[in-house]
Amino acid sequence: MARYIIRRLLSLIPVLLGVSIIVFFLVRLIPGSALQMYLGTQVEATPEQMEELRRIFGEDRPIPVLYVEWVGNLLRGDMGYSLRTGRQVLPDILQRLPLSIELTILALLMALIIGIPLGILGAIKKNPILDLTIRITGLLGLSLPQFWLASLMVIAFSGIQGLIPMGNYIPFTQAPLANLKMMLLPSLAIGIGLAAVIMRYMRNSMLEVMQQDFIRTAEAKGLKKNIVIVRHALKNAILPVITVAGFNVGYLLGGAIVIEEVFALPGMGRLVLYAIYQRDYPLIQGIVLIIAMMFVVVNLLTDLLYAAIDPRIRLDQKEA
Amino acid sequence: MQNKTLPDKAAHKPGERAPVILNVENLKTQFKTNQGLVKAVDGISFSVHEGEVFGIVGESGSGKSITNLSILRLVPVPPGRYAQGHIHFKDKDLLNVREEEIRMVRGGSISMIFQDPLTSLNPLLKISIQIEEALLQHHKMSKKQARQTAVELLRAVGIPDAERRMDDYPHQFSGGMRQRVMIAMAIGCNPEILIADEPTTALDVTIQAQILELIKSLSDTRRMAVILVTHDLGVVAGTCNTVAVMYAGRIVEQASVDELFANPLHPYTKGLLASVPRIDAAKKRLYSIPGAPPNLIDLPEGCAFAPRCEKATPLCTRAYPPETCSFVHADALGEPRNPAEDKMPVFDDRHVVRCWLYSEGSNL
Amino acid sequence: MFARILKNPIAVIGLCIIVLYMGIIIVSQFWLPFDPLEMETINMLQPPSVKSGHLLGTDEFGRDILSRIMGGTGISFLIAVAATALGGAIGTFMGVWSGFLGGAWDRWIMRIADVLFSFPSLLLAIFVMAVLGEHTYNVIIAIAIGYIPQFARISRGAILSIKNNEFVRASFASGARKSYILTHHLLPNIMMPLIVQSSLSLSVAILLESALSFLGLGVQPPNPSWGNMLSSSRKVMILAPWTAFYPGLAIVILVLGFNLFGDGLRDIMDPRLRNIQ
Repeated sequence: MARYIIRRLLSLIPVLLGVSIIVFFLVRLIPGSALQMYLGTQVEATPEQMEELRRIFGEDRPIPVLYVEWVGNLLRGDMGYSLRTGRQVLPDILQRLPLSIELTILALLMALIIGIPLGILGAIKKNPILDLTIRITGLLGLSLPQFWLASLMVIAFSGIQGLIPMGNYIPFTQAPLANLKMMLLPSLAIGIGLAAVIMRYMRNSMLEVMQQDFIRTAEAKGLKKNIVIVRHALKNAILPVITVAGFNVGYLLGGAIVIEEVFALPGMGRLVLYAIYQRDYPLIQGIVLIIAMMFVVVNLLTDLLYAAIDPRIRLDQKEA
Repeated sequence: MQNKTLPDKAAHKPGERAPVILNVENLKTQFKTNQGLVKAVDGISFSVHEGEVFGIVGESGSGKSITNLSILRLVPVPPGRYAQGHIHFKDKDLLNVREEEIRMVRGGSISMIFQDPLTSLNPLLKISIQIEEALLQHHKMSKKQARQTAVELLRAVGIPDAERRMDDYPHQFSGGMRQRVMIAMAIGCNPEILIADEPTTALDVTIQAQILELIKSLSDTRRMAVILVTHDLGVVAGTCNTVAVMYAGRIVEQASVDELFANPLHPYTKGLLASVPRIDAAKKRLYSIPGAPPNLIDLPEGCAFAPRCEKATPLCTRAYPPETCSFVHADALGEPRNPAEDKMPVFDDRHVVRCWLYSEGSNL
Repeated sequence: MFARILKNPIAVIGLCIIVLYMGIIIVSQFWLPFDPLEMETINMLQPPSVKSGHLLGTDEFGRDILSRIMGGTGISFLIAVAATALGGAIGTFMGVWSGFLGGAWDRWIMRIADVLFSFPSLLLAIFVMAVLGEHTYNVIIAIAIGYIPQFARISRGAILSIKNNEFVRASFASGARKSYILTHHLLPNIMMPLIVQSSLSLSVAILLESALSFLGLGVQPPNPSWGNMLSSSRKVMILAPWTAFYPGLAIVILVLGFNLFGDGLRDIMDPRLRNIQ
C-alpha cells in the first residue's frame, strides 16, 4: 500500500508542472494590459516611473523568463504581489481558502448523505412508482441552477436569524456552531446537483451489483437480508460512486464561485472572479494553481480510498 | 461438526434403503417475460436419499439450474414464480414455509455451490470472513471458534497453508482453489444436502477430476447427499449414484448410473451418450443431436423432444407421454442386467422414462 | 426508432417540454405580450396579476417579466445548441481519430482532453470569457471548449469497443480504405451514445450560460437572458420574489426537459436486461 501511495505522489509532479505552465501562459492571453488598467485610475506617470512600473508589472521581460522567475519564487513560497492591492498574493489566498474548502467539504458531505441512502433505497425497493419518483427527482436535482436555488433560499430564509450568511460571515474557528448554521444552506445549494448525480449512480450501481453471482452465494448461505445488502452489495456498489464523487469535486468548486457571490461569502471563488475582472495576473495564477493542486490532492485521495476498499488494486502479487 | 464414520452408505438389499431426505413433487417454476411465460421447470419430481449423489444432466435451458435454485427458493420472485409443486424436506414443504425458516435451511441443512467460483465469491472480502459468516449465521459460536473451524474446513478441502491463506482474497486463488473455498463455505455447517450447480464447468479438465473426487469423498465421510447438476456426462459417470436427464423443463429419464449408461431408453439420452466423443470409436464423424433446444415459451403440447427425435410419431406431438417405470432387477424393457456388475452403489433401482415408445398404451 | 422513443414516457415528456420551448421561440419572433425592453418605471415591481396583463409581474424597471422570459428563450437555446454542436463536433473528431489511430496519437490527444477535463467547467468558461471578452457569442466558445473532453471520451470509447470487432477486421482484410471503414462501419455505431450525450450537454449548456449571464459575463443587459434577469433581481428579490422565481423556473423546466429526453434515450439505448436468459 505504501508503495502505491508513493508512486501516486511522484506522478503528481509532472502534472503540477504542466498545469503551472498552462495557467501561466493562458493567463497572459487575457487581453488588456494590467498596467494600463492600473494607470487608468492614475494621473500620468513620468518616464522613470513608467520604467519602474513596467519592471514591476513584468512588461520589460519576455514571458518565458517571467515564468522561470515565477516558479523560482513559488518554490520559495512567494507567489508575487497582487497588481491591484499590492499585497502579497499567497497570504491573501490562504486567508480565504478555509472558507472555500469548508464549503466544498460540506457540499460533498451533503451530496453523499442525501444521495447514497436514496440511491440504495431506489435499488432495493421494487416499487415502480417509487422508482419513477426517484428517477424524476434525481433529474430534477440535476436541473436546478445553483444561483436560483441560492436566491430562493435567501428569499425564504432571510427572516430567520443566522441562517443566511450574507455580509456577516463568522469563521469556523471563531464560533463553530454559528458557522455551521450559516454554511448549511450555501453548501446545500451547491451540493444538491451532486446529490442527484450520486443518487443515480448509487442506484444503478446497486442494481448491477445485486445481479452478481456472489450475491446469490450470500443468499444461499442463509444470511440475513441486511447483511447481504450492506456487507456484500453495498461495499461493491460504492466503488464507482467514489470515483464519480471524486471526479465531480470540480463541479463543486465551480458552484462555490457562484454561491459565494450570491451569499457574499469572502471565499476564494469570489476572489478569482474579481481577479479575472481586474486582470490581476499574479492573483489569478496563484488561485488557479492552488485550485489545481486541490484537484490533484482530491484525485489522489479518491484513488487511495478506492484502493483501500478494493484489494485487487492494492495487492500486486497474485498467488496461485 | 464431527465426521461420522459409518458403514458403506448404500444398501443394496431390498428393504434396507437409505432414507429419503428430499422429495421434490411436481415442481413448476416459471418466469414472466416480455415475450411470454417461460416454463423453466415444468413438473418434475424426484427424491434424494441420504448420502446419495444424485446427478441431473441436461443442456443449457433444460431447467436444471432453476431446479436447484427452486429447492432453496432462490429464484428471484418477480419475474419468477413457483407455480406449483412441493418440496418436502424434514416434514416441511420448502415452497410454503416462511422466509425465516427457509433462511435457516439455506447454508445450514442444504448448501449450494455455483458454477463460476470467481464471480461467486465477493471480491472485496477476505475468504475468512466469507466462510465464518456462514458459520456464525447458523451456529452460536465465538469469533475465535469460527475462525478455528474455518481453518479446519480449508484443510479438509485440501488447501495447503490454510492458516495463512485465510486472510487472502478470492482473486489470490487459482480457479480450482477457489472452488475448494466455495465447497468449504458450503459444508461448514454440515449440511445434509449439497447442491452443486455445474461445479466443474469453469475449471480445467485436470482440476475437474480433483474437485469431483473431493465432492465424492466429502459425501462419503459426512453422509452428505449431493445433487450434482451438469451438462457433461463424463462428470456423471464417475461420481453419481443416480442420474436424471432433463429436457425442456422435464425429467425424461432417470435411473441408477450404471443402468443408464448400459441401457439408455429415451432417444434424447441415447443421443447424449452418442455425442460423447470416444477414442475407441470407429466412426470418423462426431455425432450431434439434430435440431436445436426448444424455446421454453412456446412449448408444444406433446413431447418436447419430438421435433428432434428420429423415432417420433404423430402421437408424440399430440400428447405428453406418461411416466413408465421399471425395476432393473425385474424384467426390463431391454435385456435383463446383472446388478452385481454395477460399479456405483445403487440407491434407487427404478428406471423411469417418459416416452411413448415404452408406454403400454401406445402400441408402439 | 422514432417509434421506440415515443413509447418511453420519460423521453416523451422531455420532448414535449423541448417542443414547447421551441414553440415559444417561434411565437416570440412575431408576438410578445409586451416589449421586453420597454421600461415603465411607474409599473415597476408589480406582482403577477391577470388584470394588469403582466402575468408574471414586472421587474425593477417596469419591464414585463413574461415577455423577457420569452425573449430570452431564443438566445439561450441558440447558445446551447451552438455550443453543444461546436464542442461535440471537435470532441468527436478528436475522439474518433484518437481511438481509431491508437498508439502515441491516442495518448497525446487524450492527455489534452484530460487537462481540459480537470478544470471545473464554470471556471474554464469564466476564464475563456475573460480572454475573449464579454460578448454574447463568445459564450458559445467558452462552453464548447469545456465539452470537448466529454465528447472525445465517449466517441473514443465507442470506437475502441468496435474497432476490434470481427466485421471491421474483415473490412480491413478485404482492403477497404480507412476513411471508408470509418464512415460506413464505425460512425453509425457511435451515433446513439453521442445523441444521448448531446441531450445532456444541451441541458448543462443552459445552466452554464445562465450562470455566466448571472455573473455578468454572458448576455449583457438590457438584452434579456434568464441568468442576467436573476442577477439584476438580487437587489429586489426579497421584496419582489417573482422577479427571481420565474426566470429561474424557466431554466429549470427547460433543463429538466433536456434531461428527461436524454435519460429516456439512454433507456432505449441500453439493451433491456430485464429478460432472463
